[in-house]
Amino acid sequence: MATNGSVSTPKRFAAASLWVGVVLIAISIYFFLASVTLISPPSQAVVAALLSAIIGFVMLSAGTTLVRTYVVARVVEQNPR
Amino acid sequence: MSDPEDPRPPSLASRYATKEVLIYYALVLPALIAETAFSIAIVSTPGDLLTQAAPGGSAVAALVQLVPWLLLAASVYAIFSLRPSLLVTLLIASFFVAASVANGIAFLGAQLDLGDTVIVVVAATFLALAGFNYARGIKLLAGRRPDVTSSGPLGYNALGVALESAFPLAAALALVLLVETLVGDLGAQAARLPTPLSALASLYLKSRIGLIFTTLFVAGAAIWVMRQFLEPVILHFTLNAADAKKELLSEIEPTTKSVRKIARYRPAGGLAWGLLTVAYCAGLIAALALFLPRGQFSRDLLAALDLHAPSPSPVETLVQGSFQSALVRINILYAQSQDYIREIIQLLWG
Repeated sequence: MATNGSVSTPKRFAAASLWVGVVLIAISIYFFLASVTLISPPSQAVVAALLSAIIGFVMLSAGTTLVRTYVVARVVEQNPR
Repeated sequence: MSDPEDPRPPSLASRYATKEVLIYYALVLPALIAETAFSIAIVSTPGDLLTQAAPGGSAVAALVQLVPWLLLAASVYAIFSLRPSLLVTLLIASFFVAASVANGIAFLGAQLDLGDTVIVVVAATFLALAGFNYARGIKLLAGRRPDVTSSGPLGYNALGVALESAFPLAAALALVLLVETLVGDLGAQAARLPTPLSALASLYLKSRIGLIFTTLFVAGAAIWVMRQFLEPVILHFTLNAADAKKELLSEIEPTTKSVRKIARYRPAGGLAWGLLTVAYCAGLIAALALFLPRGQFSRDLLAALDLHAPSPSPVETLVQGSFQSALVRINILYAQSQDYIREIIQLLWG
């Protein structure tokens, strides 16, 4: 794509994956906190707390995988050769 | 990081007595002390049970007495060869042996219960893992003198020292506190479960093996979470283009392998399977001819060809009867287990 006489390569890896990953990590932190809240007195929802912690682990894994892939792809994109 | 103007080879003292090496020794020392305590507990346990257990029990007991010292020797080797992972493995192995056979573990005259011992193991493990950072630096320097002078602002120097020394130690201690708190709270949370589950969970958490596995699980989960947060940050600051390409290729490697396998797939003619089937049948017939009583195989074969039911031999009748009785017993056990499961479900969910 030519703009103002200079040639720039389009970005193949959008920053959206980074933000989606960050949002997923934030949601995972929310679920971790919710799991702590669910087992703190007076609440006694042990099973719900365990489920919340599991959801937090899964979301954290997905979010960090997205961020990690973004970081690796960005390094490759900046040095194409 | 090394001084390029120093042509002299590093001496033994300078290689093993640098500041980084001393920090590494200090970080792995708790693991060695804990192993010593576990070894003493194992050796001081009387081996009467082993002696009575088998004819060779005394020899086994003597070997058990030797195992801790072998573990200690291997640990000292792991420390001097800069292998903290081997040291951690040996520490956990000695802990499991001590928790299994020893009556009690004492340290400096104080008797440690299982919970204290688990905390000691986790703390020593985390400190040894923090020492790995220093060990890696020592390996990279290979005895050369590090040049750690900096002309930058004081804040950057303080930040470097904090990241190098204070952060690993703080992370290790924080993880120990977190694991201790979580394992302690799990006991209280187990009591809130419905009646049969609370009793089962409380008993499990009070047992040795339950406490060990729970602690290891919680510690593993805490380390996993920490790694998930730190890995992208470390990659962002340390990854170069070549390593990034390798990383991306390794991520898509399973997919490319399966695609290549599908592309290369050619349906076989079936000759190999036919040969295998013929060989299997020939082997089966040979085995029947060899192991059956004389004449039994030919009689059965002729009876099969004449389409008459062969008369069962006494051995076959006996085997058939025992199989039938075993089948009836399995059916009864299955019906009983169904009843037990129904009772448990009724107790839990009404």
